[in-house]
Amino acid sequence: MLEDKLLIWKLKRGSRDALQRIYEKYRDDMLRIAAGLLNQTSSAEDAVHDVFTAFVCSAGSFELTGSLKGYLATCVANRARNMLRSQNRQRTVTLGDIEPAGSNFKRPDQWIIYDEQFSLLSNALAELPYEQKEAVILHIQGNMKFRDIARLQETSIKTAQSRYRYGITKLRSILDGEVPK
Amino acid sequence: MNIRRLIKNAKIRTSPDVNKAVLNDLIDTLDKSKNERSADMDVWKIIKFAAAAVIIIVICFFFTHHSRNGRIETPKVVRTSESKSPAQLTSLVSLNMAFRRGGMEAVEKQFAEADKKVRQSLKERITIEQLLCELGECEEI
Repeated sequence: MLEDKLLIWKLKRGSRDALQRIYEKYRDDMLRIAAGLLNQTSSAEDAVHDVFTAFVCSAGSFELTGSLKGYLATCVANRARNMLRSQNRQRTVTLGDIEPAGSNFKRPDQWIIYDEQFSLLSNALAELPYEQKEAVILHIQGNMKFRDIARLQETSIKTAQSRYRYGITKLRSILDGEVPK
Repeated sequence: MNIRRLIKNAKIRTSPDVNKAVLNDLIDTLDKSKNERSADMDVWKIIKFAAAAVIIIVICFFFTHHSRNGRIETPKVVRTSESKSPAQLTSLVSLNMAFRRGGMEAVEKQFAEADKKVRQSLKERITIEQLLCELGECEEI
């Protein structure tokens, strides 16, 4: 937390080292969140890239009130939502164009490389309703509190907790048959 | 099965080349936004300097046009009764005005002032001989 504040302070003064440190510290977490939410490798990479770019552009006026990880996770979640909305509006993408997370196909410029466990998890997450998936990923991977998740989802804390609980239960039932205990 | 642990432990790897490319891209963006910010800061500095200059000019203009011989003019005090002679103070017109201004009290005050002035003028003009005469010492001298 204190380190993040110091890094933000340095970033505001144009420090490249601070930017590199923030990027390396949170890159993998954000990619995991994006990949979990979007279930599509290229979109997840784009979302994280966009979030980091927007963060750098607004660094001059940025004021850190909570945790930086929480802030970036919220940005990724918002970006993922916007991307899904625009995809739903367009509906011109054929199924063949979509490259699901965890697929064996690998582009030469692919950023995320999945391990077997993440692929399994990603496929299971894809079966959850979006709100439940968001609650699970943001709470466990983004270390976000239910209060913040509820604010993001514009709902009550109880609802966010319920979504998380239902999501975990459903994930367990999906994965129970696939992962050896 | 501990789903929470499974999600926590699920790792991804990233391509080092793409990591580097994205970081370079971000550094370029940072440099650009830094330059834009400094340009904005320069504009603000110019605006502040211009505003300060305008304020100073306005203050200087105010002082030069509203002062004479380097001193700010103070409003002139109209001195009515003090500048008048005892004869003027006791004239009918003057007494009439005083009555209108403050009734009998003002008239009395004006008489008192006229009396004071007469006494002062008498004191100024009187000589030692006249004083001695008044005291009945003239013949002895």
